[in-house]
Amino acid sequence: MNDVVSSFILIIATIIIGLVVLGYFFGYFGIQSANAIAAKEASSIASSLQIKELAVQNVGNKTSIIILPYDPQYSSRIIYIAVFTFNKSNLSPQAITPSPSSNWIPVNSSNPTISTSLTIYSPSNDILYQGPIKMYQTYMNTPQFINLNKGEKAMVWIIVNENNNYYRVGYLEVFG
Amino acid sequence: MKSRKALSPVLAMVLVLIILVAVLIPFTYLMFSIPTAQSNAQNQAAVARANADQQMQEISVIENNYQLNTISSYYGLLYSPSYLYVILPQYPKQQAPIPLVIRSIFGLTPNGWTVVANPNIEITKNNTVFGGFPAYAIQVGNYQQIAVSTNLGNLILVPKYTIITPPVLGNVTAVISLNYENFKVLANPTFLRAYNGSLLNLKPIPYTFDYLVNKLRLTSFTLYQYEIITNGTATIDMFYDGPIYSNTSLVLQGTKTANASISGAFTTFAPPWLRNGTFIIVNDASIQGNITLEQYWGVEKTLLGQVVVPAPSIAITSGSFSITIYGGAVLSLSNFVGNITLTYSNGTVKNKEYKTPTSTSLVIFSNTTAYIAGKGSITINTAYSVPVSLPTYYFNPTIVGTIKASKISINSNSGYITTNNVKISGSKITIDGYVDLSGYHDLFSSFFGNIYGKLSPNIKLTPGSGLFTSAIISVNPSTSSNLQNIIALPLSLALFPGILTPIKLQLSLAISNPSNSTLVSDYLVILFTEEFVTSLSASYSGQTAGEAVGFVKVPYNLVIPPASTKVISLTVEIPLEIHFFSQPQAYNSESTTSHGPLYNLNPTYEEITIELHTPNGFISSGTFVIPVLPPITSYGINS
Repeated sequence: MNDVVSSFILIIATIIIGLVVLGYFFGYFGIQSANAIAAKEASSIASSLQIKELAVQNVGNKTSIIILPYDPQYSSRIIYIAVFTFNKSNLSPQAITPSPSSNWIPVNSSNPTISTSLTIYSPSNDILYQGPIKMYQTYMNTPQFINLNKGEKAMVWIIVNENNNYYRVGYLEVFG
Repeated sequence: MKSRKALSPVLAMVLVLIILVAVLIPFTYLMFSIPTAQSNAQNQAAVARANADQQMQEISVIENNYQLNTISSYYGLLYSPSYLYVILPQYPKQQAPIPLVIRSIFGLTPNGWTVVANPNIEITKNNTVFGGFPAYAIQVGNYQQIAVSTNLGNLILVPKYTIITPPVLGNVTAVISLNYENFKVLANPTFLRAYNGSLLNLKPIPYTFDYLVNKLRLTSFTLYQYEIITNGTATIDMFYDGPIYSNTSLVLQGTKTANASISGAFTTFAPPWLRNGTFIIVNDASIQGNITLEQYWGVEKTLLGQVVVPAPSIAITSGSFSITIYGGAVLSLSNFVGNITLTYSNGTVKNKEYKTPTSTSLVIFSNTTAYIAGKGSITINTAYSVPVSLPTYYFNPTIVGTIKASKISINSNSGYITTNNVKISGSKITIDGYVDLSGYHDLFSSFFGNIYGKLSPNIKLTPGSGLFTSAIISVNPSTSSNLQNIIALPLSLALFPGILTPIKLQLSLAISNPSNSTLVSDYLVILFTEEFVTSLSASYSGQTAGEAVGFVKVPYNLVIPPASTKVISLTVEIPLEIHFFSQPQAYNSESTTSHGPLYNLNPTYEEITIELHTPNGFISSGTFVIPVLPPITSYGINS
């Protein structure tokens, strides 16, 4: 009798422990996989996104630029554009992030849709940048216009929102 | 007891399985499912990029009328004020593999780019015609320039279309006016007869030519009898176009230096059996052209069993040469380094390479071509023995190629050498040696061609050939302030060969460009016509009328902007040809004067025509009558 009870208790305990472990697993991987799926989606956009640029010298020492984020597979998807200036940098373009001295360049001469502090991830799910950012909400395959002064160097970021995380899926250096 | 305990390991295994499945399924999902989607996206993006690239190849941007006229793509984008034209040069014959869809049109304003229109239209047919091509027009308004985005994400800049006018249109013209106040005749033409003593003792043109130039007494440029000798150290930039001939003297003799190129044909009139001579050029010169060594036919078949043909040797002390020898010869090479390529009549090619200085001899048969390139000394000996039983051997070697050496000597002891378009050039050519033209023992008895270059003192050239051949010497006056331009054309007058000296004119021209294109001219042609009456000198009687005509080409770089005028002043000498309206009665001998003016020419009427020539051809001219006699007043009759 004593043996039966102890065996039963052992089985129950084992099941409880198993369920707890299983619960932990699901709890952890559920969040992780959601983030991972978002990152993979961003990575997929990043790998197929084409950014077309057309820069023309305009009057008043300005350079007027058309930027066309183009991806036929993700047409009419909501994207965000952020354009900031950077100084002469030895970093490779993909590592250039906004600095306190960066100016935020207006896109389409309009006010930014989002102007707050955010964390921007790279498609590999690493944190790329944390801090204030000014972004313009628009759609994929929609041309964007910016103007740069002569000598200005700016970085264009194409950002998508996946699972409430912001991923930079494309970047382009533009020169005034 | 034992049977009860056997259940717990099974349950434990089930639990382990549940845990494994719970871990593996999400893990596998993460590992495999999304990368596949990513690679799909990449593949599709590659296809989209390839299509976009091909679309760009189908489209050309037309910025001007030249590009429009040479369009060869499927689509041409053209922005002519307020309209975007899609030119369809292939329509309707061919359709583009990737149809063009114009998604959006952007216009550039001073504030930047702006969206002009989002037509999102596929261009399949034309709705208008532009520049003779079917075109599809979309109204866009006026912008600095526009850009177009296509269905495949291409962004294309379309600047404004401009029409470029050709450099010279038919309507580009010039108005030439002659300033009479600045028109002066500095020297009238003079006729000199090449006549010495009696009709039986006519001197050849060179004699008169020499006399003429001598008479002109140019300070640093004197033409003596049979030769041009410069005094002092001045070098003369001169051009000589005509034959060189002498029956007693040498054409090129002594130690002379010419920074020049001499091109032309050297020939001989001497009978073959008497032809021999040596032609030596030293000091960094090269000979280019054909040199034909011809045999004397009379000794072709000798009973000694040898055919004797000219045996020139080209002795090159340093430098290199590349020549081709056609026909039979024996090459004697001395210290030769280089290549000899033999091409036989059946097409076989054999190459002999001499890497170290070699002295050898080589037989080049008459049906063989030898290309020799290298350094060293070569003797082309065509004194070549063949059996008598082979009478059909003809040795007629031709040397073609370039011989560049510090010393070149071509020696022919018998037979003769003719040359065709031989060009001797070098930064400094010293003609050292002689060409024996005395009697019939000449190698090159005459020359016809050009000498262009700077001649140092003591170059001897004997100008002229025979009685009636023309010769022109033009000396660039810009290279020496004391020099004048000398142009002389001999006059062929049946019994009275002579020279008419050129007329020397000073004139001032105003050239206006009324067109809207820049006028560029690189030379002028000045034509001169003079009607005259001749009054014969003392021992002659009667008068005769005649006409002197001539023209010169005057290099002159002229650039006249639109709607402006330029005044140029020129001093030109125009060699004249003379025509008499009736045969002058000038048969009497002039026994006391060997040379001298035969006629006094009294001009009655002069006409000058000035033509302006551009790199694209003649564009304009002006003809001016110069009154040389006060015109008779004629009153108009009132009707």
